[in-house]
Amino acid sequence: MENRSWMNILLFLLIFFLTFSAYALSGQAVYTQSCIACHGASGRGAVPGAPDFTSKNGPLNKSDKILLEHIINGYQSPGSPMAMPPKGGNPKLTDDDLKNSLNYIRRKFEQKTSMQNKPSIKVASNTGIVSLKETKNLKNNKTSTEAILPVSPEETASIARGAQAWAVTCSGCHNARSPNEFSSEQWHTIMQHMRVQAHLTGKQTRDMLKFLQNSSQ
Amino acid sequence: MILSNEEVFINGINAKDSCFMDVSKRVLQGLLVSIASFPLSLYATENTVNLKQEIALLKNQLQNLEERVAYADQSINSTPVIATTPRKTKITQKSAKHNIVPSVVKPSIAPQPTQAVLPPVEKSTTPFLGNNALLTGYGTATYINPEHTHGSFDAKFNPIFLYRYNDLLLWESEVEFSLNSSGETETTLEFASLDWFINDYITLVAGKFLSPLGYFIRNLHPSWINPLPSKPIGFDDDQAAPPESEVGAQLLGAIPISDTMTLNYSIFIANGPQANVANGAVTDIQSDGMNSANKIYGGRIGFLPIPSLEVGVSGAKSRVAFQDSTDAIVETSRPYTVLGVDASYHREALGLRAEYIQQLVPDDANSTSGITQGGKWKAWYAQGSYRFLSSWEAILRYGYYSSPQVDQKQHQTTLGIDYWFMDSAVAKLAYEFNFGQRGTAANANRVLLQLAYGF
Repeated sequence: MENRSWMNILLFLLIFFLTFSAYALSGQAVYTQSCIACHGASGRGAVPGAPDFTSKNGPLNKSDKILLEHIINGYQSPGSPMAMPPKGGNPKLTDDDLKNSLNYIRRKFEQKTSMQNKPSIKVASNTGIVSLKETKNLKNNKTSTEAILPVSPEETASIARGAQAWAVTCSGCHNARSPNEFSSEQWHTIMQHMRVQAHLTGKQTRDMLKFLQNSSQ
Repeated sequence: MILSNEEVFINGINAKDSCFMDVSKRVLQGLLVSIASFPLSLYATENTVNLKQEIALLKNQLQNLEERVAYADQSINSTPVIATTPRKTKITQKSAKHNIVPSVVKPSIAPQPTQAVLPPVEKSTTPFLGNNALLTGYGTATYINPEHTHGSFDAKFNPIFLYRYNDLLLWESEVEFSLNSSGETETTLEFASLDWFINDYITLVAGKFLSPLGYFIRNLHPSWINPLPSKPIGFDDDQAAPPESEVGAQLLGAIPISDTMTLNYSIFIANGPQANVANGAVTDIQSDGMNSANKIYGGRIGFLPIPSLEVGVSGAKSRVAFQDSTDAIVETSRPYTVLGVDASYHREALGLRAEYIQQLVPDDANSTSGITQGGKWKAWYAQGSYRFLSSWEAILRYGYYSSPQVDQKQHQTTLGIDYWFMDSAVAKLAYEFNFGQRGTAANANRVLLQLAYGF
């Protein structure tokens, strides 16, 4: 190949690299890629032990300095069955990425503490007691309702094991896919395929499926 | 006598006649109660309407939630129910001295264990396939520019179809659509198998499946997984140091040894390999299950002392048939063996891999076909990768390949850099330093650019 073509390619590469090297991921991008699996799109926690960002007494009452230390070094909430790994399990994130993600979390979820939350109301259902939590956004007057089911200690442990396996086992061959990329039904089929491809036991498959279905939005 | 308004004020009336005053007082009191209770009546009416609307809303939400809970019971293990009795609501009115604000006594809420929000039930994005089917796969666009010649573009499309029957059976298949040197579309069945999940540790796979021998072909060959635009030297389609696929049946699974240690395995039986011969020598070997007269037996054992480290050993044995250029079988049964070792380790941003594999057909001085020489195809590579600045990845790979064809012997060093748009979409740039026989393609350096997307 001619030297001039080589120079052009290297120059393009240098410009491309310098452009993207100065670019830190937006807070929303970091949250969507690395945080949402455990903390959920609502910020209220998608796995057992994950704190509720919208709570008045939640972790957002701490200073940015303390929260950044937790994010960078990892942290286990008191009583939580599992710890948040350093940088949410994504070592590729820079300090700027993490600061942006914290700003995004405060911006998105601290607002919800001003929302009018009606206490849960227990309503009888065919299969048991279903808790309804209504949340009304004072800004747009829209009301959303969530169903909250109690989770047994066994299921809690299963979800925690699944989250750890997702972070470690998938990375053996490829980037771990975000739980939000597929629906619950799709994850069920995908995990059966991965059970064969990755030589997973039935228990590993079920644990990871519980985590992925619990975290998918 | 009609009293004026002033005369009926409670604190301003001077009664001239006691009887008249009594009546007047009663009328006045009645009027005052009516006036005072008028806003209350309006408020009560409005509140009743609100309550009715709220009850209607709750009824609709309850119906939806009952459907979701019934679905959750089917797909997830049933969860224990906290039995509490909802209390009745009642409306109270405070004294008229204060603002009349009816309050609704909310039922008390019993303490609950750690809760998780049930994910919403979504309709399948492929409704015509149903909830148990999935169409996935990956696509690739590549530009390759070898030294001393023109560059060329290439494209591949690999759809993967999966269909699940509960947690008992899975059909999985992949087809590759690619372009040959003439620009014509070629279709290859990569794998097509029915998997039976016998129990937590044993799965039966029957059909055509990627060869369980080695690691790269089975786990790393998809373009959105392999961080470099090309396969390691010797692992490509036309080189075939490792067998690519088998047609037969295999048992596979994993056995947990401890909380961190795992042993995984694959054992299989399949149609045997076939070798092409020309000019009295073996030219290449086809190991994708064409020879039904001989069967191949083999497998792989992988050991994971910790989840991020795996070491594997592979082996297989069979007899290979020799086929000449007219497709005639000139020798039916020459011994054939496969041997391989592989290792991989990943920690945070660092990834390390290495693999060695060989196929061996021994010499036979007493060969009935006159082809006394056998052949040995072997390839190995070592690769390191490192992720940085969130979305970038640098890769360095060294590889070696040799075959009975002298002009195919080759050393290769590859430098690559990737930009990951997302977890399964990547742009790759790589440069290969190739050292082979002078004047052959094996000695030409190459620039490669590739876009790959796993969907």
